[in-house]
Amino acid sequence: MSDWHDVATLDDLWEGDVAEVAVGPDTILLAHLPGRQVRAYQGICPHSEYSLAGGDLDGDVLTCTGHLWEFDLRTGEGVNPSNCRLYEYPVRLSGEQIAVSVPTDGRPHYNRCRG
Amino acid sequence: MPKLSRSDWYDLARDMNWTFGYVNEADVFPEELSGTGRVPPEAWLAWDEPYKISYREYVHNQVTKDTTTYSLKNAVGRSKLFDQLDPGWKSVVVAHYGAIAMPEYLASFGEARMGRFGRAAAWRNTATFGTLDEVRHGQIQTFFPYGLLGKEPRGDWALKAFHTNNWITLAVRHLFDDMFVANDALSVAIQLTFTLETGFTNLQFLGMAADAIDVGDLEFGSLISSIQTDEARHAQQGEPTIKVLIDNGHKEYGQFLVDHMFWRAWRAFALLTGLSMDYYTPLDSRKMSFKEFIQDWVVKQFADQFRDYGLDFPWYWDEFINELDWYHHAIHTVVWNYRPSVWWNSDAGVSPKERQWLEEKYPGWNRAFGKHWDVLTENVRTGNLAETFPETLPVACNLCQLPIVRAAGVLAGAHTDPAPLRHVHNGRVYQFCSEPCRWIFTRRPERFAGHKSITDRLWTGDINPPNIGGVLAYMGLSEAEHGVDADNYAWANGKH
Amino acid sequence: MALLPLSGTFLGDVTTVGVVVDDEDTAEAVGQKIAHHAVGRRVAARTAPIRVRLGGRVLDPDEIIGRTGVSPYDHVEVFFDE
Ligand code: FES
Ligand SMILES: [Fe+2]
Repeated sequence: MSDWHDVATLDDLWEGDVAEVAVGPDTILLAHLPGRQVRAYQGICPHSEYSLAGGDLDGDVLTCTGHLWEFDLRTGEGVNPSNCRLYEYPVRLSGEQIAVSVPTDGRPHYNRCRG
Repeated sequence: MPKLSRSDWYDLARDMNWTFGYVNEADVFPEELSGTGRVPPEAWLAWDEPYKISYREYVHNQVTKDTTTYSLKNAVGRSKLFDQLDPGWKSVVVAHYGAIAMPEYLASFGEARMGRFGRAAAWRNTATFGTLDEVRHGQIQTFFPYGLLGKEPRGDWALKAFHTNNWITLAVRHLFDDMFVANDALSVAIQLTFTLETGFTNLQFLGMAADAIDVGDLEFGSLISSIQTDEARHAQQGEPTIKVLIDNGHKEYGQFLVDHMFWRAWRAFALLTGLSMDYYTPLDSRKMSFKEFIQDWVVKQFADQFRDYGLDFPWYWDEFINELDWYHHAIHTVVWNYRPSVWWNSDAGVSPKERQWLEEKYPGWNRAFGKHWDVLTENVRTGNLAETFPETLPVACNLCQLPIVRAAGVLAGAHTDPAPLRHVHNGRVYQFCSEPCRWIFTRRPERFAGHKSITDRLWTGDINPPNIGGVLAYMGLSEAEHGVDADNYAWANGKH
Repeated sequence: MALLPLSGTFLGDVTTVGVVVDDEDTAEAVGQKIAHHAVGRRVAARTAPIRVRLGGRVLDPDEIIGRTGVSPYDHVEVFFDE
């Protein structure tokens, strides 16, 4: 089971921007990639829990400020290191409205990777 | 010319391997230095570090970090920030510099040994960056306290401590000689990077940086987080190494190295971090107790690591968990009692409010430890300060070199007998604080047998005169350097 | 007369201390020498007599420590007898 939540509009999140939103206990990273593509991932870095929204987005690749880990926000896959992917939430765009689906399973929605 | 992306050239440039034609494998990778001989050379090709970096990127990142950290230091150095810090926190910082700056530099030897004798090119490459990291950490952590000299002359213990026979130095030096100065490349990877760095210090540095910012010590906070970013990268040498070892059927040996060093790391942590978190850090800035920190971070992290690599919890795990309740409290009481013998000002940290916090976090603290502090408090209040200082040495463990506090274990219900554990090797009696310390010693006695604890040195006449004055002089402390109570005994009068 | 290094723990204290006694000392004197480093310092003083236990046996106060079978670096436990 999961619920859809309106979290932002495209007015808040321009192309090339990332933002952090909270839904209940979940901290979520929103990213607006080139070509009207919006993605939602775990907002806390899987490495050492820095906020990913503080990172630098270059094209599709986000670099975390903590230890410069890189993630491809098109897919959520780790670029460097490549063995660490971000937890992804489904996103729905209706007009300007961005909605994110958050599972209601009471479990934490993030991956953790050591390094 | 098109710019290749890192992944296009990285493996090729990194994996500089060739087959030896003119020399033997054993001459290039002597087992004493490499330690990798259990696993055949080809199998080491599987070694792969998860996070990749090129030399160019490395230099770029390091310059950025240094510029940020040094400019913050310059700005803070002109301010009154340090003077305004809590005295207990200043002790955390001064203790840290003396105990850690030189070991960081010495760690560059261990990294360099991996950089030369690691059996995989990828490993040697990562270790080369690690070597540069540790040189940087040694330098930055002697330069920052150098800047404090006008305010805290014992900042020079960052450099001095390791050139003395101070008892804390004996303990820390014994540990780090074992862990990386006199250790082979394989064991350095497993004991320094896998066990200590991934398991303990990486997490601790994150917490410490946050605490520093919380108490207003921006300089130390930025220093520590800048170091942590390097450590997070070079610590990743541990996991590929243990993976190769286990995949090639040598789990038992890997487990032995982990068990050996986990216990030693725990002992050092109890001393340095235990006292900092539960006694020196001002009450308002304590986010969690030392026990909670170890449980929530270290234990959890190790549980994941052990699971991922099919390792078992060390055989003494229950004893370790049990010690979280009492061991560092006993060490704290001893360190405070011996405060002239350390280069920082011990913060008793037992004002009425702090005692309440301790009892909350460690139910039974008052019954086991409060009683000693009642006597100490009474002596302070009645002006009987002489009785709050020691006249002899505690008996130090012949492995961890810390005071044997099994007596406190009896009070905490963990032990029934306060007597030190013993082992006789070549006719000499060795005494230990715990079964794991004795086990580490007896598994490889030739590695440790020649060393004398501080108490041995007193007993065998190395310390002259054999009294507390002689002890303090032997430890390299001039009178001006003796630690004093950090709060000038305000805690004993019910104030803080 | 010879120096005898011992480790000693006063029950109720946090740590074990190193002392050097004389092998002609009585158990009473050895007990006092170890108590000196603990009682009134970290262990509250009491009026009870102080006893010494060596290898599980409580020594007679007048016993000469050097004739108890003790060896250098042995451990003694010291406690209030009450
Ligand atoms: S916390 Fe994001 S890279 Fe380390
Ligand atoms: Fe020990």
